[in-house]
Amino acid sequence: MLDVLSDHLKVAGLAAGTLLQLEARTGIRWFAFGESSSPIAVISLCRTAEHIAEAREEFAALTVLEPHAAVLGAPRPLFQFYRGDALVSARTGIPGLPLRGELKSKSADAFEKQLRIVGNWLTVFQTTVVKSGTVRDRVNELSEALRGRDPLPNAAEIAILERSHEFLDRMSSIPATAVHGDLWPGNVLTDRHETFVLDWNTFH
Amino acid sequence: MKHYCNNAAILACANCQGLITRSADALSCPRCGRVGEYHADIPRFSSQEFYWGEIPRQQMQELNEQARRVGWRRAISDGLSDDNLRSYISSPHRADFHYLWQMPDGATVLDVGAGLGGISAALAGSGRFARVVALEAIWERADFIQSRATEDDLAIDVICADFLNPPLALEQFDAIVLNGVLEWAALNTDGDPRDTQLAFLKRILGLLKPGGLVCLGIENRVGAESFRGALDHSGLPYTSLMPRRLASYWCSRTFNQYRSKANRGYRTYTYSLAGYQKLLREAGFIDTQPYHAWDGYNSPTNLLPLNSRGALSGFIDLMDYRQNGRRGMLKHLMLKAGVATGLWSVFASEFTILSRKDLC
Repeated sequence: MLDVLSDHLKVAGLAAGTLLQLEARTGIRWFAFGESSSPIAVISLCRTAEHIAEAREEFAALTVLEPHAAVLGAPRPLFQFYRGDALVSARTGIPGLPLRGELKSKSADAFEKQLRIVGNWLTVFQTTVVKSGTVRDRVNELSEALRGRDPLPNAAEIAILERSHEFLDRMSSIPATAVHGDLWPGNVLTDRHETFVLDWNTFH
Repeated sequence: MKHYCNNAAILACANCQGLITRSADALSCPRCGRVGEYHADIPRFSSQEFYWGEIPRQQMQELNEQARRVGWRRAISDGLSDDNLRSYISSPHRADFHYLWQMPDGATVLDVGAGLGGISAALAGSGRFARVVALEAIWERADFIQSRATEDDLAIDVICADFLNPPLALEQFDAIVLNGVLEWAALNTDGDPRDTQLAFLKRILGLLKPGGLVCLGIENRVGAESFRGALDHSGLPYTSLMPRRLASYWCSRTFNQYRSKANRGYRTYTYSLAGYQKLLREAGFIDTQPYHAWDGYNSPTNLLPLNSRGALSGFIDLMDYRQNGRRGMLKHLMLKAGVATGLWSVFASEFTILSRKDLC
């Protein structure tokens, strides 16, 4: 496996460096390191259909976002290939440490600081990745997609859709925005005043 | 007569390297005569009298009977109450170290001291290797590996033989796994244990093709767990930390404790990382790459390259222990200090070490 990864990383213009191998939710993950403590590349080996679908979705999202990767602090896609039944998917590494998941009640300043970091990043994200149309258009698209879905939407989903249709007119003036889809402190990393964001498989 | 090749492994006399031939059930060397027998599809070279294992002999024999009747998974599910032992036998992650091996697909691998076949099955199940040869001295355990290989249709060839005297022709393997093996090499021999371990490693080197790789899984003599009182291979705590002669005296004095009845002094030598590097160098291996087996060498999924401070520091950042309050912050700082000072390599509890045979 190491030979194959080294070759692919070379083609992507990166030196393989030293690999750190860790167990991940989706299978095995390798972090290629050079001299610094920031990984050069992150490579995932996904075995199950669910994890393969996730990796493919993230790779597709990173490909769409690649022109804005530097501004958004998003990783760049490197390569994807099948090895037997498993999918190997690689992206560039990103530096930094994640925001704190839990803060004590007396840490109001830290909480505000984290909110400011995320707020600033969201502003950049939603002004950089511009989606055409309005929220109304997107809700209609979603309704269509859900109605044609197998399995069909359940009662709760139908109720939400019907309720949302009551507000459709009001939504016609709100422009649609890009959504990360999994924005929580663990996916937001900071490094010397720069913000980086991980896990783009639910981007839409 | 054509030499006998057990599918992947070319068998050769452990004494003279004469190629072994098969006639009916007898396995013979042209110079030394009969050296083994072919029994239940397994070439067998070791005595059936000796037994060692995590499972008592009678229970192991019953397990084999059950495995033949209802399948090996059902047999261990019904017959073993210890979850850790069941996972140790059946986890598909027992050989996750192979992802870090630099070698083309279709290689042939030897698993020395294969036990109940956990590593051999994981290697064969990876689909990466042409054949896996499982070398196991204890008949009951070899029999169990054969059952699981047959049932799961795995490309494993089982050989029942003493790992100090493997009946295998030289230079035939691309990789050899010694997982929890080297420390036991001198248990039943005479003479200095390190000399025996060195001779064993030289023999392993001889079995490798030029450029072949050995994958060693073993404890650190001065690992952090030893200082916390973890049982050493002697069955006693702290013996790895003692000077060898003191450990030998101590083992002889406390012979009635767990596992130490077999102790004839202290013979299960482990080493520090520098000690392993020296031993491998003396045996003729080159290009040694040590990893800290974070969850132990028997669960070799999380492997931390000890020769890269960047990777170790990056690992600490990824784990982000700071999230876990003061204790987490302390752990974070201690690990960072371990990277900065180089002490991480000194006190890592267990290693997975990769080393190569020279190409020439």
